[in-house]
Amino acid sequence: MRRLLAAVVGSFVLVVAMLAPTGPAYADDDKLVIGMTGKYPPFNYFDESGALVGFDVDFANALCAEVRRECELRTFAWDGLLGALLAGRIDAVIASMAITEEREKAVRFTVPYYESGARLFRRPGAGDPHRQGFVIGVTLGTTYEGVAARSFPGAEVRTLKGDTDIVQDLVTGRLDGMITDDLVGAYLLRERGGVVERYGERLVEERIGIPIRPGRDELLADLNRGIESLRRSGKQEELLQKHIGVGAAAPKEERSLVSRVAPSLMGAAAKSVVLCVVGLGLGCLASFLLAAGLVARAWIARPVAAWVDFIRATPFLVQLFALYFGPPALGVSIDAWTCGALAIALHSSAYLAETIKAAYRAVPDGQRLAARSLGLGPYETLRWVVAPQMLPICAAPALNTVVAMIKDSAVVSAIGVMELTLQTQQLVAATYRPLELYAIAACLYFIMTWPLLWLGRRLEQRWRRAGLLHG
Amino acid sequence: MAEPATSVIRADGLTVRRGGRVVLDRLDVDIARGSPFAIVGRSGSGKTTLLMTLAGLWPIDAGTVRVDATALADLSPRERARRIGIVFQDHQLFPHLTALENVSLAPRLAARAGVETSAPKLLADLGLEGLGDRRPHELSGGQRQRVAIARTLALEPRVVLFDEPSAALDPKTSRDLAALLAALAGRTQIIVVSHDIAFVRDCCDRGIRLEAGAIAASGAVSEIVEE
Repeated sequence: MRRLLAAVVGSFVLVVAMLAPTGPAYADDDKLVIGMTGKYPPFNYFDESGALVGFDVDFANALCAEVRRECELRTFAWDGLLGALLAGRIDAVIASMAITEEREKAVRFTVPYYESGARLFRRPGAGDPHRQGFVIGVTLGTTYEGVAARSFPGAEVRTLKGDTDIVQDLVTGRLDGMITDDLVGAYLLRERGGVVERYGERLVEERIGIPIRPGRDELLADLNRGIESLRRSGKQEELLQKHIGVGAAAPKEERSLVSRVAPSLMGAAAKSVVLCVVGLGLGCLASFLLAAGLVARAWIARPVAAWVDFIRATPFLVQLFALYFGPPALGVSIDAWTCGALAIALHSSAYLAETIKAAYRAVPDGQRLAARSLGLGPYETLRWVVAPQMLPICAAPALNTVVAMIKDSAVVSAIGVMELTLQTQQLVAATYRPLELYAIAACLYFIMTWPLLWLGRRLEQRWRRAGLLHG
Repeated sequence: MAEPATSVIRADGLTVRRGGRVVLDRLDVDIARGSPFAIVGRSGSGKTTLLMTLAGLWPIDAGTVRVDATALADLSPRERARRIGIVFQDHQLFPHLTALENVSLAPRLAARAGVETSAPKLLADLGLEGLGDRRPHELSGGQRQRVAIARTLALEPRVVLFDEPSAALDPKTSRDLAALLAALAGRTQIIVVSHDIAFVRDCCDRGIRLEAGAIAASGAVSEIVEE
C-alpha cells in the first residue's frame, strides 16, 4: 500500500514537474523588465491578434533602445504593479501611471513621459451635462468620481467596473456621459465613433511618469535622459500621434469585427481545448484512483470520501487560487497554466470519482458472485463483467461533468491563463464591443461542448436498445 | 483413506454463523455420485447457506467442504470452478454479452482449448441452437435459464448446484427442466436446492431435508418430503 501511494505521489510530482517549464525569472541587470497591465487601450493592450501593443509598449521599446538596454515586457494586474516593482520582479512600470503624492511616498517617478487629463465625453443628444439628472459613469477606484461631483454638481454619478461597461451603458442609454482620460476618450472616439463626443475642456491635468524602486538613482537618471531625448527628437509626439492622435489611422474599418477577431478567438478556443484535454485527462486518471478508494474498505474509503466531498463542496475559483497562491507561499513555484490544468484535474476528479463509484455500486452484487463462481479473479471480474456494465451507467453523467468543466475552464482566466474567455476580455477591452465578442465566445464554447452532449445522447440510445440501460 | 470411492462432495462439521446466529450447526453431508440429489427445507432452514458454502462462495466458520477428496479451501478460484459450479435462481447472466459469449467467457479466460467449438455445441445440446448471438434481454425466462446452465457446464465441473431452479417456471417448462436435469446426470453430479416439492419429486429420487440448520431427514425423496 505504501509503495502504491509512493508511486501515485511520485507520478503526480513528475507530471507537475514536466508541465512546469520554468520558475519565475527575477529582474536582473542585463535586461530592463517593464510591467504594465495589458488592459488599457490605447496605451497598453492586446490587439486582435493577441499581441501586446499600444503607446506604452512602443514608448517602452523606444526608451530601452535609447538607454541601450534589452527590454522585457510583463503584464500584471493594476493593483499588483507597484508590489511587483518593490519586490524586485520588475525594474520599471510603464503603464500610464499618473504621478501623485501618494505614490511618490513609495516609489520614485521619472519626469513625465506624457501629459493627459480627465475629460467629459457625452452621448450625442444627451443634453447639457450641467442639468439636473444628467447621468455620468466613471470607473470604480479612479479619482474621476470626485472630479465628476466637483465639476457637475447637478449630475448623478454612477461607478462601474471599467470603461468597457460604461460604453455599453452609454450605447443603451443608461448613461448620458462618462469621465475618463482624455486620450483614452480619443481612442474611444476612433474605435466607436458616434457613440460619444468630446465635451468642453479637460477637467484635471495629469502628468504620467515611470515609477522605479527608490535607491536606483543611476537607472532614474538614465531613464530621465532617455525620456528627454525622445521628447526632443519628436519620437514621443510621433508615437502619440500614431496611437491616439486625431490623425491616427482607423485602418480596420474595411473588415468586419468577426473577420478581424476570428483568428485570435479560434486560437484561444484551441488553447482552451488543450487546457481541458490535459486537465480532464489527469482528472480522469485521478478519478479512477479516488473511485477505487471510495469502494474500498472503510479505513481507506472514509478519508477518500472526505476529500471528494471537500472538493465538491468548495468553489472551483477558490481551489484555483489555492493552487496558484498556495505553493509560492511554501517556496514552490507553479506557472499559471499548470495551475489551471491541475485545478481542472482536481475539481473534475472528485465529480468523476462519485459518478464512477455510483456506477460500480449500480452493478448488482449477483454479477460479481456469478463471475466468482465461474472462477474469475478480481481483475477479470472488473475487466470483463463489471466495467462493461458500468460504462453505460456512468457515460452520460461523466460527459455532463466534462461539459460543465469545459465551460468552467473560463474561470482560469482569473489567474491570467490565456484561453477563450481571457482572450475575449482582452478583445473587449481593445474594441469596446462586449455584446458581439461574448456572443462569438458563447458560440465557440457551444461548438466545443455540444458534440459531447450529442455523443452522450447517441450512446444512451444505443445502450438502451441493447438492453443495458433501463428506466 | 477412509473416503468412500463414490463420494463426490462431502462436508464435515460445517458451521456458519451470521450476526451471532448459528445458521448451520456442525453439519455433515456426504453425497455419493449418482442421480440428482435434492436439498429441501422451509425458508430459513439454512438451504441457501448450505448451497453457497458448498459452492465455496460464502465463508464458513468451521468445517471443510471436499469435492473428490480435495478441500475447496485449498483451491484457487479457477480450480474450484472446475470442480463445482452453480446455477443461480435469477441466472445472473452477463447482460452485456451474447448467450454464446456468456458461455465461453470463463473457459476462454481459463485458456481452455476448443472453446470455439464446445461452447456452440453446448448451447445446441441445451436446445438453444441459433440463439447464440442473442443478448439475455432478447431471450425468454426458460431460455435464459438454459444459457445459465450451459455457462456453468462449460467448465465441466464435477458438481453443479441449482438454486430453486423451478421458481418462476410454468408447470410444462418445469417438467422439461426436470427431464433435462435427469439427462445431465451422466455428465456431472446435480444437486438441487428447492422448496418446490412437486419439482423435487420430478427431478430427484434422493436427498436431505434441513431444519434449523441441521439435517432432519435423509434418504429417498419420498421419505424426506413432509406431507
